[in-house]
Amino acid sequence: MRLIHTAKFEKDYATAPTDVQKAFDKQQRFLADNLQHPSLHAKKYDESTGLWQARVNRSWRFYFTIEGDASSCTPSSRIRSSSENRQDASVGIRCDPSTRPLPQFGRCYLISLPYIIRNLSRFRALGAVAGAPCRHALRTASMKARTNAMSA
Amino acid sequence: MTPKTLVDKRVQTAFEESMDDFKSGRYSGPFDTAAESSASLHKAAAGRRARKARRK
Repeated sequence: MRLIHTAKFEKDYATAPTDVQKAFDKQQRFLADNLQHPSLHAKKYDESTGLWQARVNRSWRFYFTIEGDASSCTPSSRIRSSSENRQDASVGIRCDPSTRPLPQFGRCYLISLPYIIRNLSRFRALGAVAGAPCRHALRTASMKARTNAMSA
Repeated sequence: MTPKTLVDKRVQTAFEESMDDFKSGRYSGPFDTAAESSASLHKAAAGRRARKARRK
């Protein structure tokens, strides 16, 4: 798959933290090899615009569109085994074999920003700070105390 | 929490901006490998940092 990035994407990339940039470089390698790489969690984000979303890391995402046949982005055996992909291909991602640069791969346009989900990190921080025992732990502790009292 | 509608709106705006960039020819590539693409991104980021430093 060949990669293209717009000026907007370059700007977003430049403003992203270094660790996110590094993570994106890695994910980009996966994307170029295989759209269905498990680390990407790639999914169609918007059917009407043909926008796709994939993960950079736990809290950052990047968005892209695919020019050419989506089925040509992954090995054909995988397409046949997965009903989801068959559906994606039939929905009609623009397919123009004459402009396809390589015979077996489609073109991938990286178009949009890495987007941070701020809430996720906030949740993680809250979880770490709170550190309160969960209900289940409290219940088992009280049950143990009760059984101890009964046996005594 | 950021509502999903707000996230969708932001993504949509970014998508439109990117498509405008693409239509007006403000893009780099196509790159055959991810390494070439990363190198270009790093170069662009370094250029942007240098421009910012010069302005100061």
